[in-house]
Amino acid sequence: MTALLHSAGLVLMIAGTAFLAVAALGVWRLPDLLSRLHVLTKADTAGVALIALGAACLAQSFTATLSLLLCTLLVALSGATTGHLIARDHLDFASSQEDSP
Amino acid sequence: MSDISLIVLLPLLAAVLTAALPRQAAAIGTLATGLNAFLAANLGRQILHSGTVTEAIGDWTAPLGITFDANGLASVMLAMAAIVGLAVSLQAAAGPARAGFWPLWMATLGALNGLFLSSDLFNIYVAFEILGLAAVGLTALAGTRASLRAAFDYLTAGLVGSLLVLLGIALSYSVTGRVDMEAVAMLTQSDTGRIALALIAAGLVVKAALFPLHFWMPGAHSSAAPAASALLSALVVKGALYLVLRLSLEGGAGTEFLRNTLAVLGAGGMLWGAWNALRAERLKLLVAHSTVAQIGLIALAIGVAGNPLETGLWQAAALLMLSHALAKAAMFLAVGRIAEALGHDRISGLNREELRPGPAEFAFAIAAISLVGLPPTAGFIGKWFLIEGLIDKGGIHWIALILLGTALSAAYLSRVVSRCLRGGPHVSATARRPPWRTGDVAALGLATGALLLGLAAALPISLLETPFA
Amino acid sequence: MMLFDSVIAAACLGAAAMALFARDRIAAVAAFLVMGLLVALSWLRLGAPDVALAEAAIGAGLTGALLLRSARRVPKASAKALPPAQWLGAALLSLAVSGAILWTALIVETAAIYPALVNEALPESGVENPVTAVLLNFRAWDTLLEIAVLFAALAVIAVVKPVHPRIAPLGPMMLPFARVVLPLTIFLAGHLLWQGGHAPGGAFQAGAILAGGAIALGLSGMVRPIRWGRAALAGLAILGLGAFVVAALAAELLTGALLGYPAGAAKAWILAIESALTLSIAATLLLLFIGPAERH
Repeated sequence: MTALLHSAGLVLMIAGTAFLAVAALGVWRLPDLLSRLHVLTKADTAGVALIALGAACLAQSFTATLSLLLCTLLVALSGATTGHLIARDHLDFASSQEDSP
Repeated sequence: MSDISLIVLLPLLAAVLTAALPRQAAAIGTLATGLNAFLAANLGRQILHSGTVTEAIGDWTAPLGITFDANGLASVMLAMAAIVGLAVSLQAAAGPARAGFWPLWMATLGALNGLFLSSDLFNIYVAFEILGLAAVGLTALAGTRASLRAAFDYLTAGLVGSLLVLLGIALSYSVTGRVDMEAVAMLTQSDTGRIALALIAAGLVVKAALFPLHFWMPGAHSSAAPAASALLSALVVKGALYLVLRLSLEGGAGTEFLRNTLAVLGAGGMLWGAWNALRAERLKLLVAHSTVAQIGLIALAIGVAGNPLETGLWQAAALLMLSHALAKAAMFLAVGRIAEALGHDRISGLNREELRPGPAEFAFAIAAISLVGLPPTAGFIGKWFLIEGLIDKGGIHWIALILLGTALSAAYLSRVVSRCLRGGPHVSATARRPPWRTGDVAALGLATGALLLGLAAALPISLLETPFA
Repeated sequence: MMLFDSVIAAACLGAAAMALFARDRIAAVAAFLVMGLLVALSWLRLGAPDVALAEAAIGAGLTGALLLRSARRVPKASAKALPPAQWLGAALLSLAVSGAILWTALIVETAAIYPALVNEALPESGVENPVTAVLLNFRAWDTLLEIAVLFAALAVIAVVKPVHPRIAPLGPMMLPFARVVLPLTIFLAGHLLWQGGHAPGGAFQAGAILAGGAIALGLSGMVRPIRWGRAALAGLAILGLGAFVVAALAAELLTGALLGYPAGAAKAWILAIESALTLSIAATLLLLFIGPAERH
């Protein structure tokens, strides 16, 4: 059981890292701000959640799992909010550029 | 409740109260400075009576905890801060209320008291942080563009100084495993330790505005408000000088390398400051450059004193610090009053016809006499002590330098004094006298104090002679 | 782990270089934020979780918020290059400083005397976390003076009166965000404060996190920084120093030693002082963010 959990944890963490790597790649390669945000907010949250899940499998303790859950929640929340804020600012800026040529 | 605890906590409590009740700030601040002076006098009496008083904070003795050491030197420094503080508080309480002055000044006083009493390098560093930040605020208090610029320079210079001191303390902690004053003697035993000491001293040189790292200081001290300039020039730079002297004392023969460097830097500062004061066009700038010169003299006195465990020559440096504090604070307060009466502080404009010289000019003249070191002022006693000791030791070249510095200080100060004293045909018959103000009383009181201290020099000297620790 | 450490060290240097040489101010602040997080990670690797927490909360979090806020406000300076003499001076100073640190790390054998002393006295200190024991008991006088440093910083800002325009609300998403985050930060701050007694944590970290939550609420536009609110905040900010000084005096009245806590009650005294400090630190940091007084 422990060995199974251990390997599951490793797999989950590797998957999470892969998500983060893809997100980084996207930020680097994608052409404009909105599409970069798109990849960043989603892949990032998923990556962190997977890594936290994997870590919980490895740690196998209730309090550690609780803190990891909290971490995931905070990252998801703040990631989504900041993504929204950046996009809003970008759109405001773009429309103000159009208004005043 | 011990005097030591009260003297370090009372100003901090007053700082909180003056910040919370800005309308009553002047009353609270003046009361606190009065109480502080009383406590300082009481502590001095105890030390005269029964020698050094030691107090372990929280009953945790060094090196685990922090100890206060109220020795003779600390007591003289506390008295210096208390006397200057009384005059400055009097002037500030009577003058136009400047929001924000009192919390900064009370924090400065608390930090100074803690600094003089503490026997712990790291703790002294924290006190320096309060002192440095409060000094930035005091500089900016004038609210002018020049003063803000000067405050920013002050902040930068202070940060560089702090960084060096902190680095030195960190290094000394890794060498000796402790940060109390006992560490200093251990540090002198190894090369690494000496480098740590040199780093601390280099930071202090920046903080004390000792030549050649004084570049930030004349601007700061000349653009601040009078009460703030008096505090910065008379007290704040003394904090760093005091720690230099303390390091020299604790290190004994091992800190000779620091003293040699200090003597050279001090001589340079004495001449460079005097040269700039001779060329200054504004009165405040002249007084600020004179501080550079006087700090040079004090550093020189610390530097040539030799091993403090063998000779008592270092006491001259302490006396010079005391007399400079009184005279320089008097001078800045007087200059503030002169500039207020005239509407400017150009030296060439002191030759005036409509306004006779008033008490402020008189105070400036007395303070100048003390700074030059004519008998019977406190400055004279300090220089006499120093020169006498140097004759015994055979340091003729140092004596020549000190005399040259004295002559130069007489020259630059007489640029002002001669104009103030000029009467007769230059003043028209209808000229009026400026009215008395509390600021005059404060300046005149301090200047008289510097004069009288020369007559009563036995008191600080016997304090300084109480056995160390 | 050697590889990991080297990567962190290199990344710290890279982030610092980016912060220094970035063309855009916002980019420079972002690089500074990244550096703060990396430095926090380094502290963790150096075995100083307390410092790591403080660095992450204050060094990266709140300083970053302050810098971002200022970066937008300060008018763009004409790109004036630093005079070569100053460049050279700064470069020489930093080289000397880093050389000294490197040399210390490589050559000097650390005399480990203090940790043993702390461990020996730990049972009498009232707490189990040695860092808290040093900060709030053995060397509480240092901490008192550090709170006075914070006080002095606020007093300086009150004198300089920087222009702090009203904080514009950040749109509809901020409010739900703040609704979730604020209770969480209060909970976390309380947790860190309590945990400081036996594990990494304490007043500085708790205060910084509390201030972060309050800033999120402020940015949601729900609470306007009204006048009395600011006065209350200022009162709360200076309360820390006041409470600490009064506690020091009270302890002396009870036991005869400055800051000497009564035997057996040390933990209660430390927790009481730390609670006051947490509120005060949070209020101070929040005031630094919103500015002490509005200038019209």
